[in-house]
Amino acid sequence: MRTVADLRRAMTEETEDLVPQVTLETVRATARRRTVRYTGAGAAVMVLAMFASVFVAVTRPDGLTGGPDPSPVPSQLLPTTEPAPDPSASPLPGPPDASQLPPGSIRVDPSAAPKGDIINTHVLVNASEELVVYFTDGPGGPQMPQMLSGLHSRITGAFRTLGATGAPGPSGSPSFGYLSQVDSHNGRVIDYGLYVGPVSRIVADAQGARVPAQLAHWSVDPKFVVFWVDRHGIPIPADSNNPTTTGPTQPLFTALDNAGKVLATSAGKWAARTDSSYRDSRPQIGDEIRTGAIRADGTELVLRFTGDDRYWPWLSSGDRPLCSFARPPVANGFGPGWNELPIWNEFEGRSGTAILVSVYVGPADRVVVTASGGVRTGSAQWSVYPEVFVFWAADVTVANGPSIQVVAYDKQGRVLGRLGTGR
Amino acid sequence: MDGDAEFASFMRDSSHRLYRVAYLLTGDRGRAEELTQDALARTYAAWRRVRWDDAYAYTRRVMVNLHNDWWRARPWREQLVAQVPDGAGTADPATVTVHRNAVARALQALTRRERTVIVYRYFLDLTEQQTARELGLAVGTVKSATARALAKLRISPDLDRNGPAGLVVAEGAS
Repeated sequence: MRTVADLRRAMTEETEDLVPQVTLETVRATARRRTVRYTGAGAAVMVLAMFASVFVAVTRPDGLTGGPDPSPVPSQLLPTTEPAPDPSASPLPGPPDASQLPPGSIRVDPSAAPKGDIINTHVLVNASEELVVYFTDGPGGPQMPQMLSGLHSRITGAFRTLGATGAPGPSGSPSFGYLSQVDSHNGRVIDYGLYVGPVSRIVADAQGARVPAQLAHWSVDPKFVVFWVDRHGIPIPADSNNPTTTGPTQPLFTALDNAGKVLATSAGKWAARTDSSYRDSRPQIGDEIRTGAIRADGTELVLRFTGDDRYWPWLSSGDRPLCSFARPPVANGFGPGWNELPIWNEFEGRSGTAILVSVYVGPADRVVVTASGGVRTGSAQWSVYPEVFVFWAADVTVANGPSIQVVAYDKQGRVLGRLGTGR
Repeated sequence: MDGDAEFASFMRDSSHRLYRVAYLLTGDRGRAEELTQDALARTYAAWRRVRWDDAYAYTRRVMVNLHNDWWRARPWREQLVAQVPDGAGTADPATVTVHRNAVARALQALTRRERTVIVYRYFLDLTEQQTARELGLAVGTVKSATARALAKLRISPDLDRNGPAGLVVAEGAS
């Protein structure tokens, strides 16, 4: 084969037997809850820089560490004790208090850069994460903005995306976009969405009660109105993609003008949970890591490395990707700050607590996690590449979260690096 | 036929073609799967607007844009390992797989623009004008990108006639 015609034929023939596994159901679910991943990339750089400076500060030429007993780290959940203070180490600076950040200070990936102000709802969907919303250009360009929602941790400052909602369309008449819902796992659900048009107030009728919605106008174009309701109720099914709003657990939103006249309703709009949008079906690489930490749904948090031989593997909880790795992994110390995900990954734990997970990659002999205030910690090494350490802390709250300290030791007990969550 | 049924029909007709485009753009089945799914999802969300238009072309454009966005935002995602493990090539004994990997590898050696132009011109069989219009490029840019890409493919070791694909591309032979 020597010609462009051969190239054409090769591309055609050699892709002919490729069969996509994409199904209508997954497309529909993705359409409703698609994840536009972004991160505090700048924050990650900043935090990495801080840890780099801390690394210099705490590595002492005499090899003394002052850290906790460098005994082997069990790879299961263990109660921890207060770490011995290290007189040579300055206090670890942590991420800023997310609740104190002014709107717009959340750093996101440039591909999903916010337009206008970020909207803080001040609604905590779990023990530590606040629902936050902002706008960005949609796939159709600047003239079709979309609303992105995510959770902003008050423990670590990390931000993770829940999903995107497109504008209702160019009809010109007041209308609602898709509806989203987050289950807070304590009998409360948070419904939120986007309305475009003039409005005085929006109310939600749900399960026999009428609840007023909170409203926030987009700073760039005030006719784009974000609304949300924090209410007691039964969540809609986790995999819902209901084409109507008539289900028993689904609220009906109504937009009203000053005189109480109905401008539009959400009847017929789809509603879906945005807190469960990812399923990892890639092959597992090496052993799974059982944390012993119990998630809000009562299941244990189990972490797996997945992928294939050609591309970088991911660490995943099955329903959320955490970070990816080069093969062999690059020894960049604490936190996968070089990819798009936060250093700390936060999961909802039992009884309103959080589970924090992060990664160390490097020449450490062990990685020790310590904390106080009832935080339970653990760490484990990847069976395929032992230089990859996964560590976690469970039963974390806003109050005890700042006490978490992580130290990587070499075989001689010297400190290779540290990571903290303290504010 | 309601919108859902229409979209299901559209997806049935187009997902295979879209997946093949995605594979040629990404060189990876998993990524291609993700890209196809995301592009279809966005089309699904915009179905009321695009159903009467050329939904296939719309999805294709979304796919290319998504691929560009992903690449810009997460360059590490598209980095191949330095050397494909031996096991990867030998795990699947089918010649077609070896061949396909060779074509995909050769395409991955191109820039994103060059690769996209090659896929548009020689896989989708679009003219230079159509390619330029759909990608938002000048026709001259399409021509020069095509020429550069073909020059690279001509000397690509993956497409060497003695290599797995046995392909040598000559310019001006379309």
